[in-house]
Amino acid sequence: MIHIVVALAQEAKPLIKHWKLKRSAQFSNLYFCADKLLVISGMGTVKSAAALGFLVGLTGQKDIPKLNVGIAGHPTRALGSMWAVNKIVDDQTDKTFYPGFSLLGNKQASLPISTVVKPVRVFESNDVLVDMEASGFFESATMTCNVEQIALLKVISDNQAEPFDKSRIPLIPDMIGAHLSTVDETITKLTEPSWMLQNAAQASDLQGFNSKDFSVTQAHELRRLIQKWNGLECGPIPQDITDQADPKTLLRLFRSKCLHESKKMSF
Amino acid sequence: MFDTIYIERQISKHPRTLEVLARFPNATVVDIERYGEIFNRRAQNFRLQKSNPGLIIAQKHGQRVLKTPASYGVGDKRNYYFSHFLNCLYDCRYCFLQGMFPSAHYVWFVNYEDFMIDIAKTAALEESSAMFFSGYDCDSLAMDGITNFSSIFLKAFKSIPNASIEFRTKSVNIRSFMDTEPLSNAVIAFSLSPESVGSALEHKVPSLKARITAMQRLADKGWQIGFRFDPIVYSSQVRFEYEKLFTLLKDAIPDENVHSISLGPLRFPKKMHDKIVKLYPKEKLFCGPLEKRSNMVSYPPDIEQSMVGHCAEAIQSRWPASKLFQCTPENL
Repeated sequence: MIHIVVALAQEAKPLIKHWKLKRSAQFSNLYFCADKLLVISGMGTVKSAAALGFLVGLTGQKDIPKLNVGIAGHPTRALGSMWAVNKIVDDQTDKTFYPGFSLLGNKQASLPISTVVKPVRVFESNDVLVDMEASGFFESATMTCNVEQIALLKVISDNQAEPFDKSRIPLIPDMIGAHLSTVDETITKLTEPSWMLQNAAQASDLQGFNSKDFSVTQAHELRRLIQKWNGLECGPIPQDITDQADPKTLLRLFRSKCLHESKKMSF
Repeated sequence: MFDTIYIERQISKHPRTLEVLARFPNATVVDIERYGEIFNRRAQNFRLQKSNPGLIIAQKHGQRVLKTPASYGVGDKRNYYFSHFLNCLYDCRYCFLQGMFPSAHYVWFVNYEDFMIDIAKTAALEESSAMFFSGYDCDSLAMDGITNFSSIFLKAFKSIPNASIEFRTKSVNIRSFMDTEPLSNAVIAFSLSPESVGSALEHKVPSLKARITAMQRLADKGWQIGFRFDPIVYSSQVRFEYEKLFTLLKDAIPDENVHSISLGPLRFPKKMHDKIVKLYPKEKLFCGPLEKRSNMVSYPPDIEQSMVGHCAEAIQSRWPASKLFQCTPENL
């Protein structure tokens, strides 16, 4: 699963077509398939952050990778070229953010980006992208996801020689559409390790235990003991433990069996 | 080796920075103000970063030389440590570095000259000898090919008479030592575990055989070698495994080249232990007979004392007792 935020319908168009996303009957800006949720946020940091929050609320899960795809300006770089974002500076607040690159690597070229409130026609910095959403999207994304699984891909829609105006809007779908394979590759890199994280975080379930009266602390300890028992590779948990009705007795018995087995361990 | 290199703006033109950038021309270079912006930020995932860590080139400000805990030393009256590098190329499951820092990225402090000034000042505080440990927050030599740490600091220690340096390592990267005449105030200390423990828990680390060969070459050249059995890891075969390791080392390294031997039990601060277990819940090491004592997690006293006692006895039957040092934290 991945959460995708785009600002404009024109940016979303080629992605919706490429992934054959369905439009939600309930929320008109929401598109989905089995492993993707895409929302069209509208322009600006607040809308981008809120739209991502909406996706997180819908899914109700942490650590779902997040992707922002959209257009950006740049003083000199070629129109239509795609860039990952390696640093975000919010022009209003001066806050700086750094998306992680441990998963993305350096195959896709990247640039810093400055997030501004209004579209710019005169670019200040030399080699910096300019957009209106990145900082809002990223700050919101880090609330429920690690920085390595958050990425931003920007296609240059305007530069000093060819400033943005409304006549360029119909060109956006083709600009984004030219980079669908890069978007797909990025999604694969971001989502691939999810199994590993889930595996690490997965709490052993307590099914198969007779007692239903565990406190939160007791359930936590029991899960850790199950993990230890499995790690020691000493077969199924003995029935005298699973059948035990009293949580305190069960934990005492299980602790002692784990200790006994762990003393036999070798590498 | 590095896909991403973060550079503090103030040292972007430092000769060591430029040298590394020339070696990794394809890396994405990102300007930062201070290394903490990347290293200490929230929402990091250590395990994902460890799969492909970036390099952060920084400048060390503030206190660069620190006193070691009281129980930590190999014979000198005064003991200090300093860290020119944070985090390790290797991935050892018992290593506290996994839970020490919020990030798996490497931090390299390039202002070596500031470290050297502080070391010289600290050494001059008293006439008694002082040991400076260099491999506390990293492996001293694992990145030597990039950092040139050993050759630069060996030169510096030549001119500090009452100071010694320990290079703590699992690396076999010993070129600079082979190119230098041995110094009486430098120790190359190898962290060692029995082969079975090493292959299960020490990922990306050179084999025991390769490390012993490196030690032999250093000893032949005349360098002083340290053996570091820290931590001692429990297994049902612990006595047999460590005895076997001690015999191998006794046969490989002449006694006159053995500077010191140290032993330390496995121990983690409770919070650090819980953090590492979350990263690797199925890791066999953490399924072992560990228990919480005060704020630390370690083996129960009977197991710990028996293992350490037996290893100490086995070491003293092979080497002079004066070479053995036990590093046990006071709060256990």
